[in-house]
Amino acid sequence: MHGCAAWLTALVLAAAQPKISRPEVLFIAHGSLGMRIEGKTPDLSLTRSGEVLEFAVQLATLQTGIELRDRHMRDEVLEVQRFPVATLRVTNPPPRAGKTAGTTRAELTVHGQTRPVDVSFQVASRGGYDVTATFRMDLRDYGMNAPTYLGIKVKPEIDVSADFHLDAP
Amino acid sequence: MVRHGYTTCATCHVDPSGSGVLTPYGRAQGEILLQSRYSGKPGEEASPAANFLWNALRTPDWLLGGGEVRYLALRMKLGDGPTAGDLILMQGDLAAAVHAGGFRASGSLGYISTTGSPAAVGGQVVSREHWAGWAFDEGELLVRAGRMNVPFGIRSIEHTLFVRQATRSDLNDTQQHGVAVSYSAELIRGELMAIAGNFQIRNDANRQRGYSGYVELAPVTRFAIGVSSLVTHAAEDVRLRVANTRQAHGAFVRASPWRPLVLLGEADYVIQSPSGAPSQKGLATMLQADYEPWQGLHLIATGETLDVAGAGISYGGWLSAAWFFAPHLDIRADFMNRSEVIGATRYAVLAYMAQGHLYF
Repeated sequence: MHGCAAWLTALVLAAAQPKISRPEVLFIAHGSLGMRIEGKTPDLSLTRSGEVLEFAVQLATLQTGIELRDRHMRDEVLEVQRFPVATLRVTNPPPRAGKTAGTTRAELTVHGQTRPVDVSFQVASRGGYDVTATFRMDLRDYGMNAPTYLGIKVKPEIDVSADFHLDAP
Repeated sequence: MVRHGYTTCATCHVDPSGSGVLTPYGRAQGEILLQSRYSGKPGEEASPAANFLWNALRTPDWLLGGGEVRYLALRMKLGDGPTAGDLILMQGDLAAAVHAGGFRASGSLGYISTTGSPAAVGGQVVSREHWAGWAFDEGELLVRAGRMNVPFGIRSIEHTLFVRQATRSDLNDTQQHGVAVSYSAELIRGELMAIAGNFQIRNDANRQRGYSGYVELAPVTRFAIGVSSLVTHAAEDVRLRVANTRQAHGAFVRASPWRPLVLLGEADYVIQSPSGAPSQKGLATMLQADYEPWQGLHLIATGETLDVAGAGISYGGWLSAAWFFAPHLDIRADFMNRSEVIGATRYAVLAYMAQGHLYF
């Protein structure tokens, strides 16, 4: 199901400079006893190299709404001093157009380690294109430990989504 | 805590439906998120003073200490009567909880300045809760038995609100003995209690038996909506002095559309079916807005109505300010103005309250 990514790639390649607006990257972590942690950042960028799309997030800009928790996340889990950026690379999607939703294989690099992930896309035409992408990652796959704080555990599976508007070329 | 994205209570309290002894995580959040902080340094860890007794006494990991003192200065004017003042020790509890593997237990013992409390174990000595149980799945599921708060509606400290009084589900002294099952997960939480009665009152005929419970959904962060239901029967209702079946069924919502603001709302349909008399049916409602302009300082406005006996609608408004100004310490001032139907007569009720609260 690479059609959506291909469609998105076609859009980006049509632009001299791929440009996105209103970006928001959101992660949801799930903890014990019903705890849910949401972290957000608007710091999403998109570049292309040939037919490869690369989305980048500055991890130091992620905020969960509690400063101490942000500090723990940055310093003890993500280690943003050593690994400041997370990237998602969508490579060589087959050229098939016409789909507005689907799933594609991408490469996620976090904490200095790269693993494949399946990314679900939705694209809607609206003065350009509104794009939503979601995937699930496991902290352990990237050499990170799921945090525990005073008896409350965070599960290693993290849901990630990105919403942005791709400006029309 | 809903403003900070916490829709469940079990992370911070041993009682999964909220209130009472704090977990280590809850103690830390009490300082990190609830108390005013003065250093100006963002992201500070909780200080050792957040621990039990300001860290003066360390307990083993399985034993959690707690307790609270709440003292009230009250001035109240009822109708055309004189303004009367009183000083009330509302709460002077020592409490402890055990958290060992799946085993959970919690209990409190305290002293109050009034007599006749249904929580009394003798004179002015009260035990609001004492229960033991077993937790499964890291605590998400808890089965417990003993004396505990009745699971119904919004568990708030304002125990005299119409919704709490009409449903007899306040934190002050309407706890019941029974068996309860609770579940705390990310999207749903709830508790169902089989009520065996209050065994701290002597007359078995006064004991209410039945069930109470709630289910709450949290589909998005900082928003939760739930329903409650309660049915109990007593052979001789302590208030009506005849056999009575009470029902309360309602809905409640907790929301923080903007982080400094929390909205709490509850509406309960209450039915009393006293023997030999017509049923009394009506609605108790509450809507509260809590604005926190600076961490630890809360400006609160509350509106409420009560229309149960068909004699007319009682309504009231509260303006309150609370300040969590130091570790384990807060002060609060309330102005309450009610137009309240008592019996067949409508009274204007004015109350000025100032209270200090500390927890160990």
